[in-house]
Amino acid sequence: MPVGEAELLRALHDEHAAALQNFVVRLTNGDRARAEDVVQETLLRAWKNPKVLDQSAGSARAWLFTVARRIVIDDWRARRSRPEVITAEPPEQRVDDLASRVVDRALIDTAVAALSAEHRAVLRETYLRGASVSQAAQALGIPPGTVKSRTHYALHALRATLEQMGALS
Amino acid sequence: MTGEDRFAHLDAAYVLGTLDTDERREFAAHLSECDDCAASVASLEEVGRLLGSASPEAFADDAIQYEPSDLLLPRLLSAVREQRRRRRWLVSGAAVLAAACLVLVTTLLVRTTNSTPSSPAGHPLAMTAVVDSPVSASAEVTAVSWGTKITLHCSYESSFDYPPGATYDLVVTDRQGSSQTLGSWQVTPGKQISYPSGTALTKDQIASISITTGSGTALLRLKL
Repeated sequence: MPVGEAELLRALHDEHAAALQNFVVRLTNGDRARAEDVVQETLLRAWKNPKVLDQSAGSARAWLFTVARRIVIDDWRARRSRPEVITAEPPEQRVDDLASRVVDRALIDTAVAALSAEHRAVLRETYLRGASVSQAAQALGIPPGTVKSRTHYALHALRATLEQMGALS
Repeated sequence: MTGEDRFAHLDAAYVLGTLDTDERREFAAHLSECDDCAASVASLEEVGRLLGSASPEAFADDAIQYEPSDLLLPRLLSAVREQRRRRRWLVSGAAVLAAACLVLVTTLLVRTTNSTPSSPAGHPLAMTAVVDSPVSASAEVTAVSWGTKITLHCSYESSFDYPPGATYDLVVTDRQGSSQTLGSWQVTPGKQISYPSGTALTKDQIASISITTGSGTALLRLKL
């Protein structure tokens, strides 16, 4: 293999493999080996598709996330098995709805987990636990003004991450 | 603190619904006057909606980060190496095929010049590759009283890694577009075989003759 191509593959791996693994593990119910197979297939498809590599890193990542998600969903369909959250034998349309809900959850979980610990904490207090600004300020030991501004930075950081992953319409 | 600064960071708390009633009302009123804040709130709405699907565990202090194993990169590199190797095979396979065709054409020319023009046997006609494959073939197509006699001459590259138990089918398509399989045979790498076959279709009715894999992929075709 020419040196340049090996380098290209290595760069793809270093830049995107961890982010993809975090996403795909959440689509495979924590099956890390299966997730890694999907990540491998996704990166190989990118490597074979030079147009993807010419894009900016941000849109390349969105492409990779879309491909990874398709591989997993096609696999669900092919095995006629459903993601674990689905227990009954629902009609095709509902399977698609549920699959897209599972994908949404994996996307947002990946993005939240990728935030800084401080940003995650402020969202945990205000959003998840439904605390008021002053309650959150007390719980986190910071002034109320900081709760508001930190919420602002956290949510904008989350938006940027989701956008990179191609998760926003 | 000026009015603008006071509102600058309230977009997210507003979207998530964590402002107290007074501040919420004030900010809502401000939104109708401030395009920047309105745009910022709009840009966060989908994020707020997606947050509704998140798992509580994702917000944990020590949210889990999954690292791919150290084996991923070596596996990627060797997968690519394997694919390049296979592609090289296909390319060299095509070269062998081209050489084989040249021999065939030469043979045909010699045979044609030597044979009597009224020979009832069909001349072997080289089949054209539909996809890259390690197989080359020619077909003799002869009109007979009961229909059409077809004799295939097939040769397989020996170095190719055929799937064990691979079989090929001979398929004839008529001018109406319907196909029939005339028979199947096993692949014998490195050897040449002749496969005699026939159909009740008259030669005029036959549009094409194909060799397909057991799973239905056409490898070679001869249009009549």
